[in-house]
Amino acid sequence: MTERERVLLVARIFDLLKDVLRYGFYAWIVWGVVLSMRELAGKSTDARFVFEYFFSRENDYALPWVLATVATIWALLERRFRYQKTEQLTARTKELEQRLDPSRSSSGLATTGVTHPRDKWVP
Amino acid sequence: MGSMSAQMFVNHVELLLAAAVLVALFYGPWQSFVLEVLRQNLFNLRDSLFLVAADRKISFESPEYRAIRERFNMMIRYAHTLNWSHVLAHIICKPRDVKAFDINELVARIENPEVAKMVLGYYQRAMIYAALAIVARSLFLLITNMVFFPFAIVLLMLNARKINERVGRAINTDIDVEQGRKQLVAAS
Repeated sequence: MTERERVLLVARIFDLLKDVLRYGFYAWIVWGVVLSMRELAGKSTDARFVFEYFFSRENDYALPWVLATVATIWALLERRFRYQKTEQLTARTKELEQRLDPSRSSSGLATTGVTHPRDKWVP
Repeated sequence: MGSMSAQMFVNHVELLLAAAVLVALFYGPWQSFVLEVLRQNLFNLRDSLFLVAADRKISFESPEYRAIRERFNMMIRYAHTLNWSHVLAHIICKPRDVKAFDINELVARIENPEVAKMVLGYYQRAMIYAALAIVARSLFLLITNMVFFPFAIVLLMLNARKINERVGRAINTDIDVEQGRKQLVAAS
């Protein structure tokens, strides 16, 4: 094994540890929800209480969730708009810079400024 | 189950969902956001370098300009692969078969000392931005930093140069390894 391969192996072990922790956390959340659902299973009357409580005054009419959803949609649209602008402006900058430096080198990102698909990290 | 149980159920599920959404936000949009901020900062530094050459303080054709611009390009291109586990792996393993990028050797070849100092400053800022992005993209480092922040500051003050050099070399080596991997994949 070369030294370079040894580095990649050690890095991969660290990455695996991180993945285990992250997906373990997700699994814990799913398990928590499943346990709560089990408590409620077969109790149709109580399901109505759950729905009512979710949108009730004590639960702020579920306003934080509604606001979070609206903010997320707005952020996604804003990001899409920014990518389009980047694509337009980058072409102009490139053209102007090439007038001064004909052999200008590029970063190799996609035209929108995101990672090029060929450079996506594959372990 | 009465209305109180329903309340407990909703509170419990809401808490779990909020935790899941926070983690998903951290590993999703937050990662892209930090990456884009890092890339924008690196683009700004590359632009500053370009302006130095446009002012004819250094030639566009000089090997030093080309090498430093190419390093900025590689940092921008492979910014998404930078993370603490890779940097730590490079610090632990210290691979000798990867020649580390040496900025000091490059700037020493620039004739104008003012320009050399300016270019070195751009490069050092790029390294700081990269290191900050690595911390901001890691939940582990963010949490541990909350606890160890005062110790980290003291350690950094005592050993700033050595730590900067080691982290900088590890970041550069990681970029070179990634570039090598891409070239190998492209060749095969």
